[in-house]
Amino acid sequence: MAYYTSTNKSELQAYNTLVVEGEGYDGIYTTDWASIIEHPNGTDYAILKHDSYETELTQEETLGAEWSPEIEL
Amino acid sequence: MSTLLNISDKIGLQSTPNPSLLNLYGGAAAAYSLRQLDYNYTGPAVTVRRDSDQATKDIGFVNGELDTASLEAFTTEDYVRISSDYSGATPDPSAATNSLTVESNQSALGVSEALKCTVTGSSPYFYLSGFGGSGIELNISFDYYIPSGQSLGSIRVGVASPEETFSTTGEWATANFNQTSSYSFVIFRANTNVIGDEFYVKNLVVTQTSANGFVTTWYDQSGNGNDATQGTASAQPKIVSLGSTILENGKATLEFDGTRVFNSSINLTAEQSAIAVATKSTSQAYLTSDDLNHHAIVSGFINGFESFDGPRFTITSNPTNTIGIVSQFISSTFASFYNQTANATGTTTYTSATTIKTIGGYEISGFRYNGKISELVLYSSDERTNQSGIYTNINDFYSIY
Repeated sequence: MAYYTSTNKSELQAYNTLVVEGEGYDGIYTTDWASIIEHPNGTDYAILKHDSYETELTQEETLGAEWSPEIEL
Repeated sequence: MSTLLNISDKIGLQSTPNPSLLNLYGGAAAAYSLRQLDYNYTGPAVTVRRDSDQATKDIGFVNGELDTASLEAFTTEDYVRISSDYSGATPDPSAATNSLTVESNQSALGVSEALKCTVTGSSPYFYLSGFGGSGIELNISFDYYIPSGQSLGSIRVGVASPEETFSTTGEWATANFNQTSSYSFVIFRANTNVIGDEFYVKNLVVTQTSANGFVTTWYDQSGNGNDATQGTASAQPKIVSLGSTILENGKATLEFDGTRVFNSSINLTAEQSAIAVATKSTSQAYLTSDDLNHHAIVSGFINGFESFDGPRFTITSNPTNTIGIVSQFISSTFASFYNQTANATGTTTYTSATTIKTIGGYEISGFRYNGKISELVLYSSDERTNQSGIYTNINDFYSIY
């Protein structure tokens, strides 16, 4: 699964809106394409890429382990 | 005869092949399944979104089992992705091109309003995108005309490799074929690099003939209204793959691939039981956990707030890719089981009421359950004394052991 990343959360929100409007989700049972993932550093964000929608944002093929919150043992 | 049928209808003999679990062992806090768990439950099992046109439909039960006929009819309903006669002033839908010009509303050999494609260089093609990725089954039909006397003798069209070749020249012909996509676009290629050669396309229709189905709502059959929901498309568990219901031991199930999860809010007392029919695909998994990295079937950990404050029962040592009953029973002592074998027993230290927040793992992707879940029943009571009966009811339906 590929992801788009940005330090500007609103760019990823705009991508989510692009997919929601393009796919025509009903807004009742389905309201979003994907949740925005926040990097633990608090400055980077990512969103799952939809196969049918391209954007100029940086694309990552996977998100590394550094994107995961600190794990409680 | 009619009297006999009426009586049998009233006592439920017509509607369920097995005694319903919740009629035998009632009082569940929440009960999710793709079979009917209560004779008196008349609601749907799930609401399903198909990914062709995003329409949704409630799917209920027939004879106590998920109505897979309605489910599959819904997800194999034809959906026209593209329909164009190319009569407009500009090509619609717009095409991306390479070494090819495309002009709509052109005439050729007595047919007007066609798309004219003219070669301008090497490797000429045009394509129409927006098909939602690979694996989609499509029917493609169109009329085409390749004038005779050119180097161009055929065109290739498709949504997967190898593309289909069409080689009628000198007259209009009709193409109609099915393909499962590996591209996210449909492409038309001219089999020549000779500049000025041309072909025409008219009446293009691309129809999606099957879709995947995803569950937006898994309904609580307990009567407590604890429906499990997911409004984010990419996180909805899958129930239909290309028109076919996903099955486990011949029974409908939900696929959680490590990225899917339901939201819920189920309050349980400190005395509690959890029984799930599940198949895990990776070794690491828990039945319940308050911790984010446990890939648990049910979790109380959400938004970084540890609200579950309860037991963590691993099922990591249980077999992968094998359907099983996993359960835990908690009061002053606890016991957890895989099928009829005890996984762990002891004196409980879990003394707090808990709230289940998710089904399918932690809310953040990367920590979710990877496998299938067919049924999940939660009690605010220790149902250990009923374990044998509950297991028999489940096993009679799912044939697990």
